[in-house]
Amino acid sequence: MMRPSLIGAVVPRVEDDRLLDGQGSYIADLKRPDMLEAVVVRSQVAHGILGEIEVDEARRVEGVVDVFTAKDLVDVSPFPDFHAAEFVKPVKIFPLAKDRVRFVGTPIAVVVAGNRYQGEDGADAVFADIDALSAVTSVEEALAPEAELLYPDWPDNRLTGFAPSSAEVDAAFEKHRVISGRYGFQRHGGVPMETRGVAAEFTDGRLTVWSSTQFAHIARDMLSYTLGLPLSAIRVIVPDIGGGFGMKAQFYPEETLIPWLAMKLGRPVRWIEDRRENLVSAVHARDAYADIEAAVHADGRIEALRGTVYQDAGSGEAVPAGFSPAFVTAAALGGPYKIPFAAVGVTSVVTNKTPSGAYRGFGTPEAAFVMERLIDKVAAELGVDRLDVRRRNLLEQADLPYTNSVGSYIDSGSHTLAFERMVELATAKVAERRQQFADDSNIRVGTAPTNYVEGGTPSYFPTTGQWASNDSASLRMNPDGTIVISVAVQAMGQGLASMLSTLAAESLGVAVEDCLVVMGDTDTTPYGLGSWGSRGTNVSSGALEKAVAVIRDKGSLIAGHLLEASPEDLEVVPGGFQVVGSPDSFVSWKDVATTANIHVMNLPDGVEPGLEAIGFYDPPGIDHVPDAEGKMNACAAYTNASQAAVVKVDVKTGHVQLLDYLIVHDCGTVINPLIVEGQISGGIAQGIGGALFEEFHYDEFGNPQSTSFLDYHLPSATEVPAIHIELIETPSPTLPWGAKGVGEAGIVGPAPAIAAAVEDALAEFGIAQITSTPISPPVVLGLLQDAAKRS
Amino acid sequence: MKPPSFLYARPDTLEGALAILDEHGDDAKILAGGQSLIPLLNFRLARPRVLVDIALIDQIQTIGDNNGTLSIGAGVSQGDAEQSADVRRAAPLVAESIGYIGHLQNRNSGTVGGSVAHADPAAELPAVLTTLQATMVLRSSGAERMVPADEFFVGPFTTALGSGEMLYEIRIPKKPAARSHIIELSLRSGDFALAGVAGQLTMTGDVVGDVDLVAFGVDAVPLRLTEAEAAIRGREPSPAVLEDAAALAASAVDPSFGDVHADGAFRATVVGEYTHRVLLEVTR
Amino acid sequence: MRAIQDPTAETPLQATVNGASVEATVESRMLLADFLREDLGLTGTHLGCEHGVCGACTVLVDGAPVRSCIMFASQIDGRDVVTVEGLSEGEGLTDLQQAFKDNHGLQCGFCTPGFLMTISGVEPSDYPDDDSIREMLSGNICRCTGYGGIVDAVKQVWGRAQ
Repeated sequence: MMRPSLIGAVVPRVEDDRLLDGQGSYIADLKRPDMLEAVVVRSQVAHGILGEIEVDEARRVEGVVDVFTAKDLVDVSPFPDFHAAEFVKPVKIFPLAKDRVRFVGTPIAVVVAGNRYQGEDGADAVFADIDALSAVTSVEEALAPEAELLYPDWPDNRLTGFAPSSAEVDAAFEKHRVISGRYGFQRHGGVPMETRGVAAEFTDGRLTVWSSTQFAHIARDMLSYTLGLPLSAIRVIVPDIGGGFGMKAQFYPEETLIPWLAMKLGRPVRWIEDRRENLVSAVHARDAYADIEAAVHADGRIEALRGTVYQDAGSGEAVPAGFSPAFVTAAALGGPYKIPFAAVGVTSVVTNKTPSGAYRGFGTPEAAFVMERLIDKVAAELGVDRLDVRRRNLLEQADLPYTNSVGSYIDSGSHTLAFERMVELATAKVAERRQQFADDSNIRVGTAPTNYVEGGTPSYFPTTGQWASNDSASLRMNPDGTIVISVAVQAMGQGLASMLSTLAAESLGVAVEDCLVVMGDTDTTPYGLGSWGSRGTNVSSGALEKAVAVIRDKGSLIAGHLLEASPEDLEVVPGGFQVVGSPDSFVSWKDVATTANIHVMNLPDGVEPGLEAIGFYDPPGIDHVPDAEGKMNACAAYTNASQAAVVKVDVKTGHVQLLDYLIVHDCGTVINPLIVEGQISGGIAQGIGGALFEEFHYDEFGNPQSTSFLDYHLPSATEVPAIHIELIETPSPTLPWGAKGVGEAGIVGPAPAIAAAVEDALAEFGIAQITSTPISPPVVLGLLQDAAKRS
Repeated sequence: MKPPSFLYARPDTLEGALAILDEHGDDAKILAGGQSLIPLLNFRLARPRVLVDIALIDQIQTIGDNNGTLSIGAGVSQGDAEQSADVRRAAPLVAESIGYIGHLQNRNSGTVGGSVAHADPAAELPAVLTTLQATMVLRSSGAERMVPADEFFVGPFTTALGSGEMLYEIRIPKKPAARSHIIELSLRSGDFALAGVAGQLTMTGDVVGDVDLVAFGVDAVPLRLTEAEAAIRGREPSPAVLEDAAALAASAVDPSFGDVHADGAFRATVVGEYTHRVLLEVTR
Repeated sequence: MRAIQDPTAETPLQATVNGASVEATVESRMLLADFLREDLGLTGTHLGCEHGVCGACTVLVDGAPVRSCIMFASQIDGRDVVTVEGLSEGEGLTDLQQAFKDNHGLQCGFCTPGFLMTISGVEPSDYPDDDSIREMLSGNICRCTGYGGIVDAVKQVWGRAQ
């Protein structure tokens, strides 16, 4: 009896029961015997020379065990900087600031106490002498000729950048009409519900570190560099993670500091970040804008792009470095469009703000906003319908595979199909909603389909200067036929354990419940790079596929021997093997595995004991460095989506509310629709947050103003509307199972979709174009008031 | 974010609470629902030496409807006040406004008196009580003081409560013939208001009799829109009259009162618009 | 709940937590969430913000959902507390938990206990439609799901048409 395929089936998640029961085990739930609690003292000055730090009074506070500053960390090395100095200026990060602070939130001391309450009492009594310098708080200020330098040995505040030139681009701009704009995003970031946390203990010469991190092996590598211990002496364990979103795909000063404390004090030490710390010292993102020009034909076809992405990278003190999203933005502008030529560069600067780093989407949301806004401007200035401009530029099936102007290789997709379907859906939905609000003269309703392409499974080399793209998976079948899968990708809510169990079950005919997935422990998982860049499914399933093949082949040899049949005559069925078409001739995986591990005398000649394999996988088709022309294909797969937000605008207050959000999404083969739709929905909610609500504000002295959830506004169930998802499956021709990755789905679309929808709603008022986010009531009302003055 | 140390008391009589306030003066703070106070302690922005938990003081946990006055004890939870049939009948504006306060979890713990005594410029209840011309009853050891709402809110997070005094009760004159409404603009549901307007109006025949209009979120304290009130008092509520009042309301707002979320000019515009909408609703 | 007339740095408390009697003396400043997590080992209640906004710390006190991060342990004297661990009483998933699982109403699980407690502590008839359900949920923040699965879970367990 054949079981229906699990691929595409709604399979309830294996992760859920214990989480629903409150049995999740997050870093803040960890208890080790005799554990101490650390509280990090942070600079309250954005830019200054760090002088004396008084700790004696703090040491005397009840419950405080000790207080440390940078001068105590004598055996700690600064974080290695893998990028060549010519490409990116070197930034030396030390777990506690040594002589200079460059953002409010910089760690300057650490108090160790019996519990967090006492630790904060101690932190209250630490006094640091900081000679304030002028704070640089914007890209303009950073680039100004007499700007205060964050790094005095640099010639200016540029962290990195490039300025490409192209004869074809120049020619296009000579020949065609030019339409330009400046478009950008505000500073915001991942802000998961769980903050960061690190615990460590040092026993019998071995350091064990628990950290809420997306990449255990990379964290271990960094610990080895900074603490000078061999990798074999370090174990990194990742507990349950309460959301990562890229914010936890960084290696932070605290991750070296806490282990150092454990070694120094000979006791387990833990640090749990509080929310105020999280909002000022965990990486920020998206603080970028682009000056962009398009050379356009009269019908709206875009011949070339030219421009620069400017990024505010904060203090630059992040590992992996935070400039990479700006490079992705420059490269991702083409989206689903056929734009033959492009020369878009990057200028990334340092400022006295929290360091920038990774956040879901990693530069693609910025690119989609810039491109979709520019296209809408092209449409408006040429007098061409905005849908038609897109149609004239969109990739069609006949164009694929397509290598775009920067070298991205889009081998498959449904760009035009998804777009036309979205036009259909959006047109119907907005008509329904306009009818609903027809009698309210203060309300206007609008929508406007937009598109994006999202690259997934990228090379890590441009970002890190060190790691590439590989990963691994091992699979062991126990003597009773149950399975242990061990992977280096990391769960943080995206259902990797369910996905891997499903794939193993599908391939081997075992039950999903009989699969155990082990991750997040460098002692028990093979080397790999962790979860980020929508790679989790691809790389782990790619590696798993290889291990599964070994097990299945070896299993069929053993099964054939037990059944006295040829392995070629066998098929995998639920629970084991049978001779094709002959259910009576069945042998279970349990029998096969027992033979392999225990009754090895019954193995066929030439077959070794054991039923265990490891697979290594490197995603195909990825470049790690640009070619001589500066082009590279950095991603193994490109998903595409078309979306529309149906918005309701109160024209008297500028208040924008979302009535519906529609998306047609193609991420290739859908393994579990529940999980895929969940990733898309969650990403959309974050995109809505960035488009309308979230911002890290700073004053002119570099003081952060968004230091609590009273000022940093996350969308709730009343701000996120019902999300209607349609899935198209255009399988990847090169990736395992044809799945392209969906971890960063959804988040790319809302900002351009909402901006365009608001303009559609307010079309009769002739407002100027929305060029930045968040699209707040004062912004919208200002546009309406300015339009009224003009007319 | 853990609070600093403090001494905790939970007296079961009003006199007991007042005695502690007398003894410790400004070092002591009342702990009611804690929804505003405890976050301040967790941020270590407030460091009271003594907290006086009023949960056991029965006298301030009651709602009474006496003749022409609705009395709400300072310790009544916001949730209870919102659900109370007496409040809904006698002061519907109070019940309507409570739905805007935070979220249901906050309203289960937070008290009417707590919100009033906290006096956040963006809060609803101070504005509503000003609109309704409520009187705050303040108690100290051996004394009682009545302070009208118009005089109770003296600055941001600052009230007329003196050392050794606690808010005991809020008394609201009943106006059975009045219509009332509140509208606020917040970025998300439950957020503090960027701007809001509360209003109460009684018609006398075809013309406006009594009218109270108060804006909040736009000044240090609830802002009574006196010019707007004067412009419609005694007049028929025609469209032109209402628009005129709305324009006066907008110009009453200080355009320099703003923050990163919204500038003062924006808030003034919203006040004008919401005054118009409140008036449309209460004269419908 | 017992009176304490003399201000004290250590408060005695006697309460019922998940049906069991609990007796302790705590530092007056100890937050309820920390008492539950550290002293009672009930780590299912999570801390996401410690200033009463995100809802991850929601528990039931005398049947009402409250924010345990802005409540002191002292304040539960004489009262009844239920945390997420007290929902299923060890007999498999409750209908509400099963509905979350069926509808993919959780991903990382960090906010989930808070949502479960809020939903467990409200009266369904007070929330007759999707808009009011979303309003009810708006005091709990989720960063993973986009809320659709959570709304569907509530409708399933309350017997509403999807």
